[in-house]
Amino acid sequence: MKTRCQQWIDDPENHEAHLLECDSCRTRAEELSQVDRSLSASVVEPGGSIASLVTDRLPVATWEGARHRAWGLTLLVIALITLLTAGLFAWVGIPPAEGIADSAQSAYGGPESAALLSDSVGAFLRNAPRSFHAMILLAFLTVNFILLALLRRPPRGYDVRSR
Amino acid sequence: MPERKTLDDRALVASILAGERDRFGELVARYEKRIINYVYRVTRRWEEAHDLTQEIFTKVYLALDRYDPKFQFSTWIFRIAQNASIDALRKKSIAEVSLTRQGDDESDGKEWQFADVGVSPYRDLKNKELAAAIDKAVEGLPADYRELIQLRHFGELSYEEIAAMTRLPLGTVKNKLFRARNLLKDELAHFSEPL
Repeated sequence: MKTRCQQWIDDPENHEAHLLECDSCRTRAEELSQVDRSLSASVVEPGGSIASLVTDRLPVATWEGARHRAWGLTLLVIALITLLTAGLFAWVGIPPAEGIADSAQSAYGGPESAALLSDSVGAFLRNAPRSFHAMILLAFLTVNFILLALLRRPPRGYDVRSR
Repeated sequence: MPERKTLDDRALVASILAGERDRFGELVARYEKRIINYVYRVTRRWEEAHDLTQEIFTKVYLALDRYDPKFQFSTWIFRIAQNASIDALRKKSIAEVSLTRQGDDESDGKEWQFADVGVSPYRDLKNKELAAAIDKAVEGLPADYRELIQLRHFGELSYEEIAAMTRLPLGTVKNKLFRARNLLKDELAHFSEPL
């Protein structure tokens, strides 16, 4: 069975009453309090708060990514790309719905149909007028510009050193 | 501007996760002193502790969605701080950390040398001698005692929080802290007055 002194040592907070009856433990407690005071006094007070320093440099966390994504703009771009694709199909004389359906089928229809489409597209491109190539280049640049815009940096990024 | 309601840690984390990003500053303000003091005690360099504390808060923010509100936020953040401090120490060479033990042949006369702690508010303390003695005494403690002292007195964690963080039984934490403080008392016995 534990002595009362040992009980106080094991759990001083719950056996404080023991100090009233034991000179030895009371002396020890006073000495330990002095140690605690010394330790407390050696706690450093930071010169200033780093809160603004930290928050100004906070990166966008993965969990808040969705909030920063411009969903309206994303949907608009998807719609524009669809329209552009349909326009291109219509321009070369393929009904847009049929062209998109064929493309989708070739994408999921196995390597043979993909190769077939690739060959036919290749043949078409080889014979296409210069204006079509210019249009493709313009569309490529436009789409990539929009995608870059969608990947815009967060307003307060980790890599922003000064404001 | 309307005054914001003071939230407890869990509610504050929930509000940040819900989109109140700027409230993270409140969380930083709440813990910065404790974290910086704790990290300083582990890394032994004030400037490094300052920078590392900022990194720790950034890590905390990035991982905020992984905090489980079933547990105390304080133990979670201090675990991140502890891991980051240990990682920082590991990255440094032993010479840089400068914990050089001398006189191993005389086991009782152990001496520890510390690197220059750099520009520190310690310099402003009246009794530099005692401050240095506390540093030395804490550093001279066995590793498990030292860890508990750092968490208790510099991280200002409760016994329960320390037990949760270290996964030690509460009684063991109390007992080890008692023994650690006793060792410190002996080491600091020649100082009659606290700081």
